[in-house]
Amino acid sequence: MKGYLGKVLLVDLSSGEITPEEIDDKIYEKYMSGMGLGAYYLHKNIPEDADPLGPENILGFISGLLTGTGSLMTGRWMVVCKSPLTGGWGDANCGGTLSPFIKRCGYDAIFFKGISEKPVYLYIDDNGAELRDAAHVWGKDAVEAEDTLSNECKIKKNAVATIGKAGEKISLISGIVNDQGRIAARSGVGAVMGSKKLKALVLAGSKPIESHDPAKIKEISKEFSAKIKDQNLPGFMKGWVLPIMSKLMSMAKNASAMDGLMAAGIFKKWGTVFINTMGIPNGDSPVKNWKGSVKDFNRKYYKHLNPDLIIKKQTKVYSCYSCVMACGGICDIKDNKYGDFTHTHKPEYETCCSFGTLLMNKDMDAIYYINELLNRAGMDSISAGNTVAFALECYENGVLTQKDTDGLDLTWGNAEAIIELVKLMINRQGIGDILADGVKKGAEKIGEKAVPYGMHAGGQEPGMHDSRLDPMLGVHYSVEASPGKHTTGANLFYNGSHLWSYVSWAPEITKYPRKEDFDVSEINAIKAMANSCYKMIIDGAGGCWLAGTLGVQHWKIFDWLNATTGWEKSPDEYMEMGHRIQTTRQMFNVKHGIDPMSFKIVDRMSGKPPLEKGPLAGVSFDIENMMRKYWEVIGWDPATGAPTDEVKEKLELK
Amino acid sequence: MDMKVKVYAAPFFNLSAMDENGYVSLKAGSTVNSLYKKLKIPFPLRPLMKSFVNYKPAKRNKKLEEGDIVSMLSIISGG
Repeated sequence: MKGYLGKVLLVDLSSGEITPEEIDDKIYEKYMSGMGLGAYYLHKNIPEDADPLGPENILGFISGLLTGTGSLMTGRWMVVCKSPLTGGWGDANCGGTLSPFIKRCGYDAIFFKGISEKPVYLYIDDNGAELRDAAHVWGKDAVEAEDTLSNECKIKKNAVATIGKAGEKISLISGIVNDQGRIAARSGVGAVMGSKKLKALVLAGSKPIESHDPAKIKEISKEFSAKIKDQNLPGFMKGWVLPIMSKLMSMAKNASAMDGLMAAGIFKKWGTVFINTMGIPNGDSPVKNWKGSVKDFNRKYYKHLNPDLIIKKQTKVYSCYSCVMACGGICDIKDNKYGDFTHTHKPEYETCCSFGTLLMNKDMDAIYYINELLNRAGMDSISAGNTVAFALECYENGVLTQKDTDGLDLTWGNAEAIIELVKLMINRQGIGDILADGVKKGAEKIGEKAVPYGMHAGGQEPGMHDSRLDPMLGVHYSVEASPGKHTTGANLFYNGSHLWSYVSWAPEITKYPRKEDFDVSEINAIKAMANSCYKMIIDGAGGCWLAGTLGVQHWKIFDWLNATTGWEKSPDEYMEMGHRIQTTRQMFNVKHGIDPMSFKIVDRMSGKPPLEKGPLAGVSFDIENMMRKYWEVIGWDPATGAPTDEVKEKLELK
Repeated sequence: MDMKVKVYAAPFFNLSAMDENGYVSLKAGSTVNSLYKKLKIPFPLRPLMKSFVNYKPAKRNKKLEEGDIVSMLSIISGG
């Protein structure tokens, strides 16, 4: 086999049956592995009226086609299911070390259906797979459960994926955790696992992963690794420079092609938290539930989120499997004023913004503490932060009162109240029970007056990048089968991707007036389509999206794929595979009754009404017609968003 | 005789010297520093700038050649 094993494992939790299934080579050539294999399998096997929390839903853990082959930054695992949060396609992915273990167990994917009568976990090693009793870890947080199960395993080299309390309590914003707090967070995948009474997977296989041309893979990896090694920031680059660069970015009249590799030094130095301060002066970071700006969360606030302060607390730098950039870290929080955790993963930018800037909270101690609470509970920090912001704005407007909030004074920036609210959400107590399912479900329970304060796309809360700064983000928030995610594309991403150097139909970027980003135009729609198809390739390969942002001329995914599989496909052919995966996910949504226009971002996120202050003052854009233009270009009906017969025929999906 | 080099830089640099195809024209024998001048990068900032020519680290006095690719600081967001 060439990068893939040709086999998946189907576990029926209702009957306890565990059955290997062969997957034909042709399926891999059409869908790759990872996201594509998941889209193929779930679209075929989940009936249209399946309850996302019922036995017919299928939960899949899938490794990437490139994982374990010697290629770099290709070690992410995918989780797929029908999402209980949106009612449509659900996926999440995560780094860490789990992904190669799926393949070392002899499978490209492990799919679960049915519901177990009692809590169980799946154990696999080279001798086989079995379901084991999980009563002793049910109720434990994700870190404790991982420690217990990993230590119980007789084989030292193992990897564990588990849910925490949020997944057990079927919070629709819960995820699945590996490596002591790294989380595949989105789409409510943790709730699906909890509904199946599946606490964890313990993978301890050691089977080899073979490739077509290991020498070629090594050669490409060596070249990429050397480039990353060269990328180190000059000494003057401290945190104080970042807001200045941000301000300059906001003043630029033009957009231009960039060499994404030049951002590698920034990721190496700080990880993603460099955006904590760089995202504020230019408007990238949403402020005060998307209604504020740097005029509200000004330097007096954001200086507390300075990434230099965060890396001062860093006691260890780490990387995911097969990564050479190492943007992860462990922070010492023994002196944290809110609790007695000793350490936590360096919070990602998304967490710092969703529990900082978005809530007008400048208390980093609170952010570290919440980061650890959520990692252990297995709750999505993006969705949770948006949901707290929703509650704060409801409170500000009298839609929620202290009577509703169990006495909590939910004023902007009240760190102590925010922490208590997060605890209530994790434990599903009081107001936390209403909010544990995200903003859309929360608003449905609170009432009509709460609806305007919930920021989401199709029920999923958005990433911490403002679509009014980069409207292509708004398009991807709205047109993707799993909406609201910031990791598919944006103009800034496209301009660094250099896809045009490889893909015949991807528009070349040199420089152009930035205002053109706001046009409803074919060229913008084609760029967004290129982002989507490329993202499907990244997720099929198990790639890291940040590696994608470095540019395809450096992170040579097409070359790695050919060296791994021997397929000798052109970038255009790979992009067609991406197109097929993207369209299959959309077909899944249509089959499950989703109206694609219902995934449109809420009005505030497209500047309706526009902000009155700050760098994004006066900005609004025509998201509905941008969505229709994207649908038209990708071969979906511009009126309904459903894939057309023509495109299904072209992509062999009929 | 003039030559052209391809430039990749964050949009907050002055890109008026860049043509529609992303190239900047320079006199033959020009250096990275000449490119900084052409892009009007303020003098005090030049010693602090870090550039790559054909994706390899380059000093300010590095002589450029026709078709070289010069990369400067870029900002990519993500999280």
